[in-house]
Amino acid sequence: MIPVLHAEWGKLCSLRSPWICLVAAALLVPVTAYTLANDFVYDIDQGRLADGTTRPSLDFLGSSMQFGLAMFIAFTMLTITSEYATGSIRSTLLAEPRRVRVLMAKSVVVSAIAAVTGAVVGLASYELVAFILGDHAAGETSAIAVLARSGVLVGLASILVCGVAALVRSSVGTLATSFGILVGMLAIPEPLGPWLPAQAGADWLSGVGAGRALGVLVAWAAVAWIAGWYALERRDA
Amino acid sequence: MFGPLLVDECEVMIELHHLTKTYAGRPAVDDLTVDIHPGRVTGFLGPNGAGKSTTLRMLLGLCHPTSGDALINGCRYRELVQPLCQVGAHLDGSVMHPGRSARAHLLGLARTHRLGRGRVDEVLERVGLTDVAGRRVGSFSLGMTQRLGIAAALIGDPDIVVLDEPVNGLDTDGVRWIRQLLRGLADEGRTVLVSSHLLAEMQNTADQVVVLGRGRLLADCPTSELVTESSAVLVRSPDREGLARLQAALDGATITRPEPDAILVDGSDAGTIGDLAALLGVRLHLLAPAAGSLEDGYVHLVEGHLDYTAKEAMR
Repeated sequence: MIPVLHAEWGKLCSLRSPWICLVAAALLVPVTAYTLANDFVYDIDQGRLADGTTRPSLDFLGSSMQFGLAMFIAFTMLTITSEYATGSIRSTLLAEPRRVRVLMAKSVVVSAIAAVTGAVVGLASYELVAFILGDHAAGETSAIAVLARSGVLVGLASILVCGVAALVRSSVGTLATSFGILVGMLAIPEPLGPWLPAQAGADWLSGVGAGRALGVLVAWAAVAWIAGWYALERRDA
Repeated sequence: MFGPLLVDECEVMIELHHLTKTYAGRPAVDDLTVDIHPGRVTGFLGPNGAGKSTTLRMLLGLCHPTSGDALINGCRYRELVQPLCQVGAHLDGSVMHPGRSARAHLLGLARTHRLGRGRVDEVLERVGLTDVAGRRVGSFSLGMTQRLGIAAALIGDPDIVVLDEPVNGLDTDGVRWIRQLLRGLADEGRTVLVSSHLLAEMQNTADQVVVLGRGRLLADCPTSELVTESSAVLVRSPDREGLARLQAALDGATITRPEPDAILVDGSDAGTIGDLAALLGVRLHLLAPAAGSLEDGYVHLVEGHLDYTAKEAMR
């Protein structure tokens, strides 16, 4: 398993496009968080909101993280969908014909990178929001909690995307499907909403019903990954 | 790194056993049983859509047979340990990411087998791409891409080499280079299986030919056998009236007259024709086997098969 991981890591490093996506994600989240927090403070300054209004910094992080997930999805899926688009999946499968290992190696490498980046970006954005809000911030979440929640959300989302990518194979299809699952489903209300990954992701970040939210995220990621694995094993390459 | 020095000709390296693949009920490969032996270049021939690429993809574990088996050293590809060290394959069509450098592409393969940069540099050297190793594959010409594909096939120093249409897009130098490479690999005792639609090229390169038509095996024989099978006898004489008499006397043979002073006789032999000419008092200036080509033998074979399937369909 180590050689395949090493190979997948090297293959990722030798391309430019995934890193552009990752940098885009690292910029998009704090910029969005800044804009949202700034608007809130501006509304207070303009008197559109009562002077003493406060909101948790985490609220702004949740929205911006889910927006930034689009770029994390793009980063993750490229390792699989670009191989189908270019035919290089055939080279990959010749070198490692045990397909489960290929999908595992790809998933481990990109999910780990996405999770670490997500954690750092999450914390940075949180601190930025807290700084902008100043006295208007309600309550405080520990840095460790923000790191862990952001990292786990992006990591699990990344595993889900690996499954979807192996199932769908095309870039556009994967992006649309994954974004729909991870963000678009926010539109679905109670009682179904909390059982879907979009609402569960928001809950997990905000800490509301975190246990159930984590369970829901893990279950969706697992189901998507196993479906992708099944498709990869069965299909002709 | 070394290949086997002693070759047991009876040894079977690639074994296709009742291999069948159907797409939506239509067979692409139909009950194909062939053994491929080491120490020779085996040409894999057939018209477009005959099932060559599908067969190779099944052999390499990229697609699943509907029934039957494709075995390498007695194992399915997916069961091979360190597959690149047993079989090296070059597939037709794109198998590389255009955004990656040639070296990075090879390194990605090498690392799965714990082979280092040294091995990558060796194969780059062997295919003559050392100077452009850092360039992106997307900027390569078709010929350079083919060479890189062959470098990838050789990376594990495999005893079996499978190449799908390797001479596509190569210039004359490239074609000669491939021919020498294949010969060299076979002489080292390796098993070389090459698919191609360029029959003249295969006639020069392949020792053995496996011919496929509509997914079925049409021939599995030494190249020379398929070439000579098509051979006719060319008879040249300044005596045109005599040639006509000779032609009339040769019943049972298929005779064509490519030019006024010559006839081409298929279905007889030089001895019979010479005796007959002497008997009839026809002066001959040339009595020689017409140069057979693999193309003739192949066309003959494929047409025969098509006739057969057409008749079968009419019943």
